[in-house]
Amino acid sequence: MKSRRSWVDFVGPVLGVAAMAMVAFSLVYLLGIRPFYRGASYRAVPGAVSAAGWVRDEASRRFDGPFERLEIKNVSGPVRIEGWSESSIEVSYVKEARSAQALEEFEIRMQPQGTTLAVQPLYGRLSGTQFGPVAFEIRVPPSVREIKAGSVSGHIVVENLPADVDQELESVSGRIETGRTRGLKARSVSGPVRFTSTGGTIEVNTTSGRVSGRILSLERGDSVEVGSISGTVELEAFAGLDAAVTLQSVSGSIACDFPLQLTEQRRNRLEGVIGGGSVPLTVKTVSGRIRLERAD
Amino acid sequence: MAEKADKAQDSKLERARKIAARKLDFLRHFTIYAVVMAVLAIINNTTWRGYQWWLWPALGWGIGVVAHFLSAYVNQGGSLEKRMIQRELERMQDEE
Repeated sequence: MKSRRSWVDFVGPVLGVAAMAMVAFSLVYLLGIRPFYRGASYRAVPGAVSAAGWVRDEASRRFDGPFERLEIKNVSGPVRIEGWSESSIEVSYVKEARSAQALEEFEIRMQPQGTTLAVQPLYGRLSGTQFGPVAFEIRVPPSVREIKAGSVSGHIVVENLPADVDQELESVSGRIETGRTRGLKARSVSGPVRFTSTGGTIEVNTTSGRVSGRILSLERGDSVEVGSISGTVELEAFAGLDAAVTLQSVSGSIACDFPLQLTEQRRNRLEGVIGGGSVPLTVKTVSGRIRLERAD
Repeated sequence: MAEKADKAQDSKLERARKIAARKLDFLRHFTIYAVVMAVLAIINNTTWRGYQWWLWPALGWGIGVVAHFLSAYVNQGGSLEKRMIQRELERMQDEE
């Protein structure tokens, strides 16, 4: 019996499947670029190639010396800073690139200058899309008194540090989280900021990121200033707080758990004194909610 | 009766024509897609070997080509439509 099917019936499905394969391949390649990567993978297999064709390299270096300051500027990828009991700074990182050549050109500069260690990724001459994120994990000794860390698109996490370390943390879209700080300057555009402070000068600013803070102590000479455009601000302060409080939100709600001796109360502004009012505590938002809670 | 048979034959012929035309349209569409994408891939890789930007049009247009394939080969007035036509014809014959 003669077949009733023509070559069109055989070639058509083959080409259809080829078109589907082309669509699937394009999707994998284009999604694999991950321009806004903020993941938190610190561990990687050296030289491993990920599913989307990224090549990884992992390295670790130790710097001995009496360091007092750490400065790190990352572009894409998380930064995690942790205190430890040893006297050296250990920098571990996982860097990713599209090819082995790009990975070779992707340099992580670690420069000791006096008592400061500066860490920064340096991108080679290839196109920016060839370079992926760098995940940093840094261990710092108790001698470090000041930390300045920034990442454009990556989380910044600081933990296990002594209580007297000044921190300046900045991220555009990543989360900022610091366990215990004295002086704190944190800036974020869309990422949330979470901190626990033992006093000093606290300055936190976000555009749309939520701010959650715990204040364990404040002394005369300290100050707290938190600002946000649309992010909610929630501060929890110790029961014996002694502060001159200004809470202002253009369209968000304002709540304060402390007994406040009011000096000014308007629809969008609450001003008053808690205790003797020795420390200025100011929170200003445009549309974000404000809440000042009392810790039990 | 003969008139009815002629009409049924004409309708079958018309449907067969449509299916054949859809299949040939798909082959033409795929050929143009493949040629244009090959040209873009060559331009991309001869001017600069880095970022494969030609995959963006390959993705967008590829979705269109896949949809065309499905309508030409998979859903060509398929079995459900055939069964429904058959049922209607049987119903009409019962009424007569």
